[in-house]
Formats: sequence, structure tokens, C-alpha cells
Amino acid sequence: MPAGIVGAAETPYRRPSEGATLPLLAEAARSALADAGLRPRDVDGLAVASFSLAPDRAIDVAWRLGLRLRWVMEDTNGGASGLNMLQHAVRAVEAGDARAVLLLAGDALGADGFRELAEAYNSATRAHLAPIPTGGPNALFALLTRRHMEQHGLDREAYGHVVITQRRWAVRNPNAVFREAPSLDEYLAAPPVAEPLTRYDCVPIVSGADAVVVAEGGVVVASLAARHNYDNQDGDGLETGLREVADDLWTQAGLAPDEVDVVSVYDDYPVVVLLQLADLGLVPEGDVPRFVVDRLAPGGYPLNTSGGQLSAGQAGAAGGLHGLVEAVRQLRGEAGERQVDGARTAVVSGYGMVLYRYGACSNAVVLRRGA
Amino acid sequence: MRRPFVVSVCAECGYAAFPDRLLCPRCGEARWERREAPAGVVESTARLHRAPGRDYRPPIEIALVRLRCGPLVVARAEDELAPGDPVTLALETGAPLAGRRERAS
Repeated sequence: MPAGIVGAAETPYRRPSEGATLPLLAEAARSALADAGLRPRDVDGLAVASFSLAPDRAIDVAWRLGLRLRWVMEDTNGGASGLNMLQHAVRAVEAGDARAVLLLAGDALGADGFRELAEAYNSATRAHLAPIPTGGPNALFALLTRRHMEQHGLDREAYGHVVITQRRWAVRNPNAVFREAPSLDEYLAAPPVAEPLTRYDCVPIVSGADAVVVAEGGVVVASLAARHNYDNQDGDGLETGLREVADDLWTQAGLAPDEVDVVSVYDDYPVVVLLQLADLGLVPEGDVPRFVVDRLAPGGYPLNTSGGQLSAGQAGAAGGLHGLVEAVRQLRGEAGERQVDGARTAVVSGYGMVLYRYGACSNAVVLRRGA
Repeated sequence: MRRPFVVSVCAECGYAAFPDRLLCPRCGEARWERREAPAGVVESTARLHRAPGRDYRPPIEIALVRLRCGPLVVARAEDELAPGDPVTLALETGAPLAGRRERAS
């Protein structure tokens, strides 16, 4: 039997000042194991991703959770960590190195903690961005958005439609931080954060954790692919590594992109959503303006049906599992009021690690409802 | 303290890197030369008002600059800049600064 997802859970996302990292990871772990019908003693593999774990590491988490392991990893790839851990866990189960792998990702980072993290993100940021100052990734994605607008002939409305589409789903998600959809006028009139981005274009920082259990059975991982440091940061950032892997991803899954029922793409900024949709082949003929008008503006497109991080919040490294957990819920028919009828397949993407100007890590999985 | 803007150029194949690399991504060699590379053109701009835990008053003007020798650089704009403007870059405690370069008469 192929490896799949047998458990998925997310803690309620809380204000950034509340909660602490280890208890949040434990809470998510307990919920996911209960969801899988497993106990801690059944777990023999652990993968952890967190920006606020130090000085502890994955093995400390194993100890604190009472897990005796045959397989362990810690993942440090930001928004791509969730699916990177999934990739490794799936292979571990397929190879027989582990029977039940628990994936954990979460953070309790306040605004100050986030700022400190952002300014020291890597040596290139510390050396050449923080002194400007850029104060984190907002300015970089403002530049990227401008370039995207120019290349595709888009105006700010397009990004507003991404935000509004997701917020409309969030209205039906009791766990989302933001559950009201702005009108397009409200979106356009919001005060700027880094022009052309406003607060609607930036994720709310929250505390929380997500967890997934990988074992034989469950929601099937039909295909997965990754590209990291795809272009050595030599490009303009408008093409992610997904562009190169999309064909294989769909072929291996036996699915055409326009057949997929649920789409969970990493959404740190609306522009990144549109980039990934195009790279995954979900934008017919790559015509982004047409896609916005035809598919997003009318409402109901199954994009980030939890509301995404832009509505539900970004709990640090949990962001990379958030879309996966939502997709699993959809495929199991557990999405409540936001259930996409008859959801049988989903595509989930991860994106992360801004090395200098844009994210270097990209990954994606296609999931199928289990038997 | 203001210094000239420098890039690293691969001694083997001429690939220009900013920020620095260890092995040349084009040819794999590890021999680099430092070269002054101040000239560039503005590709886009962003006005930064807020970041987590920070309010910038006045806002910080950010410019994305394409260097004549190839790399794209994120810089603070010292003048009011628009896409297409020729600029000269300098470095101040690691921060690239971009000022409008007047055309030679």
C-alpha cells in the first residue's frame, strides 16, 4: 500500500503574544495522533520545522513527547518545510524505514520575534538587506508585485481578487483570524505597508502549530516534486521551480491540472499565489488577467479554502503544513461549511526561503482521496 | 562610511555575482575577482512604510537595480527614482545605495 496521510490537525491559531512553541507542537501532535487513531508509542518517525525551537531540536521534541524513533529530521526550509518533510516521510515509509511518521510545524513568534527572525534570516539578508533597512520580506514582495504587474499588464485589482476569493472562504472557517471579505474598494483604499502592498496583502502573524501523520493508507500522495535554488537567484522571481516540475507532477498523478478539485498554494503574498497557479498549469494559456476575471472575480474558485494564511494567519513554519491540512480535510469531507462538493483530488504547494530577492524553495504534491 | 559598490566576477567565465557565491554557478570554479560595478538602471521601486515591529517615517524608498554587469540589486534610493532611470550604486555598511546618475553631456 502506498504511503499517505492518515492524520491531520491544526491548533487554533492564537494572537502572537499567546502560547509557547513546544506546548503548541505537543497540542498539534496529540490532535493529529488522535485523528489517526494512533498513540505516541505507535510513532517511529518524527520531522519538525520551527523557527522558534532553539535551543531545542527535533530530538528534544521526540524526548518531550515520549517518542522512540527509527527516523528523525529537522527541517529549516520555511514555507517549503511542510512538503519537504512530507517528501522525506513518504519515502521513509515506502522504504520501510518507519511505519508512522509524525510531521510537526509551528511557532509562537510575536511581531518582535518575527522582526528579529526576518532581519537575521540569512547572511545575505544581514549583510545587504537589513542595513537598508528592508525590515523583512514585505519590500521584496512589493518589488516582485510591481514586476508581475508590469509583465502581465495587471493592476492592483488582480491581487485584490486573490485576497477577496480567499477571505470569502475564510468566512466559513471558524478558525481563521480574519473572517470578513473586504470589498474591492476597501482593498484598494487600505493604507500602504510597502507600496503597492497593503495590510490585506500581508499575512497576520499568529501562534499555532500543524501536524500530519504519514503511514500506509489514508489520503494518497499521488505525486510529489521539488526544486530548490531553482535559478540561483539569477532570475526576476516571476518563475518558481514549480514551472519545471508541473508536467511530471500531473502526469505521475494521472490528472490534468484543470481536473483538480482543491488548490492549496502557499500564500505569503497574493503575487506568490498567482505565480504558483501559473507555474502549476492552472492558468489557461498563462493568461493571468483572463484567469483573474474568469475564475477569481466571480467567486467560488477552490483556492486556499481555509482562507489561506492571508486570512487564517501564518504561524511561522506551520504555514507549510497549513495548506496540506486543509486539503486533507477537504478530501475527507471534513471541511464543514467550506466543503468543496465531491472533492477527490487536491494540489498543494510550498514556497519559501527568500535567499536574497525571492523564495528559493518550491515543492508540490497531488493528493487523492483514499479508498 | 560610503564605499564603491563591488561585485565578484568569476575569473574563469566572467559570471558576475551579487551577493557573493563560493563556487561559480555557471562553471563551478572557485576563483573570484572583486570589481567595482557602480552603474545600473532602475527596474522597479517600492515605498516601505511598515514592517513587523517597525514604522518608517518618512518611508524608505527601495529600488531594484539591474547592474550593467548583470546582477539585480536591492538598494535604498537616495533620490526620487523611477523605472528606467540610470543610477550609480555605492555601499554603506553593507547597504546598497542608489543615486540618479546624470547623463554625460
